[in-house]
Amino acid sequence: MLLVEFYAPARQLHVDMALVPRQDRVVCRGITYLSTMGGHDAGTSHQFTGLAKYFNAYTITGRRNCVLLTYASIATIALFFKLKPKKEKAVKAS
Amino acid sequence: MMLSFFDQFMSPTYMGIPLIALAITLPWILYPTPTSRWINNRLLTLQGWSINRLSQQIFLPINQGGHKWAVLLTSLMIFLITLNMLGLLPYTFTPTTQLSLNMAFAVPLWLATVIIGMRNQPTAALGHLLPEGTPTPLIPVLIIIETISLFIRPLALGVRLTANLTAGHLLIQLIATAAFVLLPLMPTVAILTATVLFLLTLLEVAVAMIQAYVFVLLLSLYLQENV
Repeated sequence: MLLVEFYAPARQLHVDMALVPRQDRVVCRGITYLSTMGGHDAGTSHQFTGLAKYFNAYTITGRRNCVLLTYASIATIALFFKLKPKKEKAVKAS
Repeated sequence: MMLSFFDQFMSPTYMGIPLIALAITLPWILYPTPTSRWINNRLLTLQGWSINRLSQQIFLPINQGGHKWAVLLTSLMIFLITLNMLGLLPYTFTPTTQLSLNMAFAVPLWLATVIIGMRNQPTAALGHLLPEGTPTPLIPVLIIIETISLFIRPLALGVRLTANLTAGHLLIQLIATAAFVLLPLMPTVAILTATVLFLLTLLEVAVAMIQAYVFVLLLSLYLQENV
Protein backbone atom coordinates (compact mmCIF):
# COMPACT_ATOMS: atom_id res chain seq x y z
CA MET A 1 0.00 0.00 0.00
CA LEU A 2 1.48 3.32 -1.02
CA LEU A 3 0.77 6.10 1.42
CA VAL A 4 0.25 9.45 -0.21
CA GLU A 5 0.17 12.65 1.79
CA PHE A 6 -2.65 14.71 0.36
CA TYR A 7 -1.30 18.09 1.36
CA ALA A 8 2.33 17.61 0.54
CA PRO A 9 2.55 19.41 -2.74
CA ALA A 10 6.05 20.78 -2.49
CA ARG A 11 7.69 17.42 -2.15
CA GLN A 12 8.30 15.07 -5.01
CA LEU A 13 7.27 11.50 -4.39
CA HIS A 14 10.43 9.45 -4.56
CA VAL A 15 9.61 5.78 -4.75
CA ASP A 16 11.86 2.77 -4.98
CA MET A 17 10.52 1.14 -8.13
CA ALA A 18 11.69 -2.35 -7.19
CA LEU A 19 9.66 -2.47 -3.97
CA VAL A 20 6.35 -0.97 -5.10
CA PRO A 21 3.69 -2.91 -6.95
CA ARG A 22 3.16 -2.09 -10.59
CA GLN A 23 -0.01 -0.20 -10.05
CA ASP A 24 -1.42 1.41 -6.94
CA ARG A 25 -4.51 3.44 -6.58
CA VAL A 26 -5.10 5.98 -3.87
CA VAL A 27 -8.48 7.65 -3.42
CA CYS A 28 -8.44 10.87 -1.47
CA ARG A 29 -11.46 13.03 -0.83
CA GLY A 30 -13.20 12.64 -4.11
CA ILE A 31 -10.10 13.26 -6.16
CA THR A 32 -8.75 10.11 -7.69
CA TYR A 33 -5.02 9.69 -8.00
CA LEU A 34 -3.85 7.02 -10.30
CA SER A 35 -0.17 6.46 -9.64
CA THR A 36 1.48 4.03 -11.98
CA MET A 37 4.73 2.86 -10.53
CA GLY A 38 7.52 1.37 -12.48
CA GLY A 39 8.54 2.25 -15.98
CA HIS A 40 9.19 5.83 -16.96
CA ASP A 41 6.68 7.56 -14.70
CA ALA A 42 8.33 9.63 -11.98
CA GLY A 43 5.37 9.21 -9.65
CA THR A 44 4.28 12.83 -9.60
CA SER A 45 1.79 12.79 -12.45
CA HIS A 46 -1.70 13.59 -11.24
CA GLN A 47 -4.58 12.57 -13.46
CA PHE A 48 -7.55 14.62 -12.41
CA THR A 49 -11.09 13.80 -13.47
CA GLY A 50 -14.09 16.00 -13.92
CA LEU A 51 -13.96 19.62 -12.85
CA ALA A 52 -10.68 19.05 -11.02
CA LYS A 53 -9.02 18.56 -14.37
CA TYR A 54 -9.45 22.25 -15.12
CA PHE A 55 -9.52 23.75 -11.63
CA ASN A 56 -6.90 22.44 -9.24
CA ALA A 57 -3.99 23.77 -7.22
CA TYR A 58 -1.35 21.44 -8.64
CA THR A 59 -0.93 22.00 -12.37
CA ILE A 60 -0.01 25.41 -13.75
CA THR A 61 -3.09 25.54 -15.97
CA GLY A 62 -5.28 24.50 -13.06
CA ARG A 63 -3.88 27.30 -10.93
CA ARG A 64 -4.29 29.78 -13.75
CA ASN A 65 -7.92 28.78 -14.21
CA CYS A 66 -8.56 29.14 -10.46
CA VAL A 67 -7.09 32.63 -10.55
CA LEU A 68 -9.16 33.63 -13.57
CA LEU A 69 -12.31 32.18 -12.02
CA THR A 70 -11.71 34.11 -8.80
CA TYR A 71 -11.15 37.37 -10.68
CA ALA A 72 -14.26 36.75 -12.80
CA SER A 73 -16.33 36.05 -9.68
CA ILE A 74 -15.15 39.24 -7.99
CA ALA A 75 -15.85 41.26 -11.13
CA THR A 76 -19.32 39.69 -11.43
CA ILE A 77 -20.19 40.50 -7.81
CA ALA A 78 -18.92 44.07 -8.19
CA LEU A 79 -20.87 44.51 -11.43
CA PHE A 80 -23.98 43.09 -9.82
CA PHE A 81 -23.91 45.58 -6.97
CA LYS A 82 -23.10 48.45 -9.30
CA LEU A 83 -25.96 47.73 -11.70
CA LYS A 84 -28.44 46.83 -8.97
CA PRO A 85 -31.36 49.32 -9.08
CA LYS A 86 -31.54 51.44 -5.95
CA LYS A 87 -34.93 51.46 -4.27
CA GLU A 88 -36.25 54.95 -3.66
CA LYS A 89 -36.78 55.55 -0.03
CA ALA A 90 -40.20 56.73 0.88
CA VAL A 91 -40.12 60.18 2.32
CA LYS A 92 -41.75 60.17 5.73
CA ALA A 93 -44.18 62.94 6.33
CA SER A 94 -42.99 65.12 9.13
CA MET B 1 19.50 80.61 10.77
CA MET B 2 18.21 77.90 13.08
CA LEU B 3 17.63 74.64 11.22
CA SER B 4 15.04 72.08 12.28
CA PHE B 5 15.76 68.38 12.13
CA PHE B 6 13.74 67.92 8.95
CA ASP B 7 15.28 70.69 6.90
CA GLN B 8 17.86 68.27 5.55
CA PHE B 9 15.06 66.40 3.74
CA MET B 10 13.64 69.46 2.01
CA SER B 11 14.30 69.47 -1.72
CA PRO B 12 16.86 72.28 -2.14
CA THR B 13 16.14 75.24 -4.40
CA TYR B 14 18.22 78.28 -5.22
CA MET B 15 16.42 81.32 -6.58
CA GLY B 16 13.60 79.04 -7.72
CA ILE B 17 15.91 76.54 -9.46
CA PRO B 18 15.53 73.00 -8.09
CA LEU B 19 18.98 71.79 -7.13
CA ILE B 20 17.88 68.15 -6.93
CA ALA B 21 18.69 67.91 -10.64
CA LEU B 22 22.29 68.76 -9.76
CA ALA B 23 22.29 66.24 -6.91
CA ILE B 24 21.04 63.49 -9.24
CA THR B 25 23.57 64.35 -11.96
CA LEU B 26 26.55 64.30 -9.60
CA PRO B 27 27.19 60.49 -9.60
CA TRP B 28 27.46 60.55 -13.39
CA ILE B 29 30.21 63.17 -13.22
CA LEU B 30 32.16 61.35 -10.50
CA TYR B 31 32.80 58.10 -12.36
CA PRO B 32 35.49 57.97 -15.10
CA THR B 33 34.30 57.22 -18.61
CA PRO B 34 35.75 54.10 -20.26
CA THR B 35 38.07 54.96 -23.11
CA SER B 36 38.52 53.27 -26.48
CA ARG B 37 41.96 52.03 -25.47
CA TRP B 38 42.58 48.31 -25.34
CA ILE B 39 43.91 48.46 -21.78
CA ASN B 40 42.73 51.23 -19.48
CA ASN B 41 44.31 52.66 -16.38
CA ARG B 42 44.03 51.05 -12.93
CA LEU B 43 40.93 52.96 -11.90
CA LEU B 44 38.96 52.14 -15.02
CA THR B 45 40.07 48.51 -14.87
CA LEU B 46 38.92 48.28 -11.26
CA GLN B 47 35.62 49.95 -12.15
CA GLY B 48 35.05 47.55 -15.05
CA TRP B 49 35.95 44.53 -12.95
CA SER B 50 33.62 45.48 -10.10
CA ILE B 51 30.73 46.22 -12.49
CA ASN B 52 31.34 42.85 -14.15
CA ARG B 53 31.34 41.00 -10.80
CA LEU B 54 28.24 42.86 -9.67
CA SER B 55 26.36 41.96 -12.84
CA GLN B 56 27.39 38.31 -12.57
CA GLN B 57 26.26 38.16 -8.96
CA ILE B 58 22.83 39.59 -9.69
CA PHE B 59 22.13 37.77 -12.94
CA LEU B 60 23.39 34.30 -12.03
CA PRO B 61 19.93 32.91 -11.18
CA ILE B 62 18.14 34.67 -14.03
CA ASN B 63 17.39 33.15 -17.45
CA GLN B 64 18.94 34.34 -20.69
CA GLY B 65 15.94 36.53 -21.46
CA GLY B 66 16.46 38.55 -18.31
CA HIS B 67 20.07 39.37 -19.10
CA LYS B 68 18.88 42.30 -21.20
CA TRP B 69 18.26 44.04 -17.89
CA ALA B 70 21.91 43.81 -16.85
CA VAL B 71 22.91 47.33 -17.88
CA LEU B 72 19.79 48.87 -16.36
CA LEU B 73 19.97 47.13 -12.98
CA THR B 74 23.73 47.43 -12.57
CA SER B 75 23.69 51.14 -13.37
CA LEU B 76 20.71 51.58 -11.04
CA MET B 77 22.62 49.93 -8.21
CA ILE B 78 25.74 52.03 -8.74
CA PHE B 79 23.56 55.14 -8.94
CA LEU B 80 21.73 54.36 -5.69
CA ILE B 81 24.91 53.40 -3.84
CA THR B 82 26.58 56.64 -4.91
CA LEU B 83 23.61 58.81 -3.97
CA ASN B 84 23.32 57.12 -0.58
CA MET B 85 27.03 57.37 0.20
CA LEU B 86 27.29 61.01 -0.90
CA GLY B 87 24.32 61.80 1.32
CA LEU B 88 26.30 60.71 4.35
CA LEU B 89 28.68 63.65 3.93
CA PRO B 90 27.86 66.62 6.17
CA TYR B 91 25.51 69.27 4.85
CA THR B 92 24.62 67.29 1.73
CA PHE B 93 21.19 66.47 0.39
CA THR B 94 20.26 62.83 -0.21
CA PRO B 95 17.86 62.48 -3.15
CA THR B 96 16.93 58.92 -2.09
CA THR B 97 15.21 60.29 1.01
CA GLN B 98 12.52 61.59 -1.33
CA LEU B 99 9.69 59.07 -1.68
CA SER B 100 8.84 60.51 -5.08
CA LEU B 101 12.25 59.57 -6.48
CA ASN B 102 12.18 56.07 -5.07
CA MET B 103 8.64 55.43 -6.26
CA ALA B 104 9.66 56.76 -9.68
CA PHE B 105 12.26 53.99 -9.77
CA ALA B 106 10.18 51.24 -8.20
CA VAL B 107 6.82 51.52 -9.97
CA PRO B 108 7.92 51.55 -13.64
CA LEU B 109 10.50 48.81 -13.15
CA TRP B 110 8.09 46.57 -11.22
CA LEU B 111 5.34 47.21 -13.75
CA ALA B 112 7.75 46.32 -16.56
CA THR B 113 8.45 42.93 -14.95
CA VAL B 114 4.72 42.24 -14.56
CA ILE B 115 3.94 43.23 -18.16
CA ILE B 116 6.82 41.10 -19.44
CA GLY B 117 5.49 38.13 -17.48
CA MET B 118 1.91 38.61 -18.69
CA ARG B 119 3.04 39.06 -22.28
CA ASN B 120 5.58 36.23 -22.61
CA GLN B 121 4.17 33.59 -20.29
CA PRO B 122 0.65 34.55 -19.15
CA THR B 123 -0.21 31.09 -17.83
CA ALA B 124 2.82 30.93 -15.56
CA ALA B 125 2.43 34.54 -14.47
CA LEU B 126 -1.21 34.00 -13.48
CA GLY B 127 -0.50 30.56 -12.05
CA HIS B 128 2.05 32.00 -9.62
CA LEU B 129 -0.75 33.90 -7.93
CA LEU B 130 -1.87 30.61 -6.38
CA PRO B 131 0.68 28.64 -4.36
CA GLU B 132 0.95 25.01 -5.40
CA GLY B 133 -0.98 22.55 -3.27
CA THR B 134 -3.31 25.04 -1.63
CA PRO B 135 -6.31 23.38 0.03
CA THR B 136 -9.47 23.97 -1.98
CA PRO B 137 -11.35 26.12 0.58
CA LEU B 138 -8.38 28.47 0.84
CA ILE B 139 -7.94 29.03 -2.91
CA PRO B 140 -9.98 32.26 -3.30
CA VAL B 141 -8.52 33.76 -0.12
CA LEU B 142 -4.96 33.02 -1.12
CA ILE B 143 -5.47 34.39 -4.62
CA ILE B 144 -6.70 37.68 -3.15
CA ILE B 145 -3.81 37.76 -0.69
CA GLU B 146 -1.25 37.05 -3.41
CA THR B 147 -2.77 39.74 -5.63
CA ILE B 148 -2.54 42.28 -2.84
CA SER B 149 1.02 41.15 -2.19
CA LEU B 150 1.82 41.68 -5.87
CA PHE B 151 0.52 45.24 -5.90
CA ILE B 152 2.19 46.14 -2.65
CA ARG B 153 5.64 45.28 -4.04
CA PRO B 154 6.45 48.65 -5.64
CA LEU B 155 5.20 50.48 -2.58
CA ALA B 156 7.38 48.34 -0.34
CA LEU B 157 10.38 48.87 -2.59
CA GLY B 158 10.09 52.64 -2.56
CA VAL B 159 9.16 53.06 1.07
CA ARG B 160 11.87 50.66 2.27
CA LEU B 161 14.62 52.76 0.69
CA THR B 162 13.07 56.06 1.78
CA ALA B 163 12.44 55.01 5.35
CA ASN B 164 15.87 53.46 5.89
CA LEU B 165 17.73 56.49 4.56
CA THR B 166 15.49 59.02 6.29
CA ALA B 167 15.62 57.25 9.65
CA GLY B 168 19.39 56.90 9.46
CA HIS B 169 19.98 60.54 8.63
CA LEU B 170 17.61 61.66 11.34
CA LEU B 171 19.34 59.49 13.94
CA ILE B 172 22.74 60.84 12.93
CA GLN B 173 21.52 64.40 13.26
CA LEU B 174 19.87 63.77 16.64
CA ILE B 175 22.89 62.07 18.16
CA ALA B 176 25.27 64.64 16.69
CA THR B 177 23.17 67.43 18.18
CA ALA B 178 23.14 65.64 21.52
CA ALA B 179 26.93 65.23 21.49
CA PHE B 180 27.39 68.89 20.56
CA VAL B 181 25.02 70.15 23.27
CA LEU B 182 26.48 67.88 25.96
CA LEU B 183 30.11 68.80 25.28
CA PRO B 184 30.29 71.90 27.55
CA LEU B 185 27.94 70.39 30.14
CA MET B 186 29.06 66.78 30.56
CA PRO B 187 32.21 66.08 28.50
CA THR B 188 32.37 62.39 29.44
CA VAL B 189 28.83 61.73 28.31
CA ALA B 190 29.54 63.76 25.18
CA ILE B 191 32.49 61.48 24.38
CA LEU B 192 30.29 58.42 24.83
CA THR B 193 27.67 59.99 22.57
CA ALA B 194 30.34 60.74 20.00
CA THR B 195 31.41 57.08 20.11
CA VAL B 196 27.81 56.03 19.51
CA LEU B 197 27.69 58.53 16.65
CA PHE B 198 30.82 57.03 15.11
CA LEU B 199 29.36 53.51 15.30
CA LEU B 200 26.06 54.73 13.90
CA THR B 201 27.86 56.35 10.98
CA LEU B 202 29.55 53.04 10.21
CA LEU B 203 26.13 51.37 10.35
CA GLU B 204 24.69 53.98 8.01
CA VAL B 205 27.48 53.38 5.51
CA ALA B 206 26.55 49.70 5.53
CA VAL B 207 22.83 50.49 5.30
CA ALA B 208 23.46 52.83 2.36
CA MET B 209 25.09 50.06 0.37
CA ILE B 210 22.81 47.26 1.52
CA GLN B 211 19.58 49.13 0.78
CA ALA B 212 20.69 49.90 -2.75
CA TYR B 213 21.64 46.23 -3.22
CA VAL B 214 18.32 45.03 -1.77
CA PHE B 215 16.37 47.34 -4.07
CA VAL B 216 18.06 45.94 -7.14
CA LEU B 217 18.05 42.37 -5.85
CA LEU B 218 14.30 42.41 -5.30
CA LEU B 219 13.74 43.81 -8.76
CA SER B 220 15.90 41.02 -10.19
CA LEU B 221 13.82 38.47 -8.25
CA TYR B 222 10.61 39.93 -9.66
CA LEU B 223 12.18 39.71 -13.10
CA GLN B 224 13.23 36.11 -12.48
CA GLU B 225 9.62 35.15 -11.76
CA ASN B 226 8.42 36.62 -15.02
CA VAL B 227 11.15 35.77 -17.50
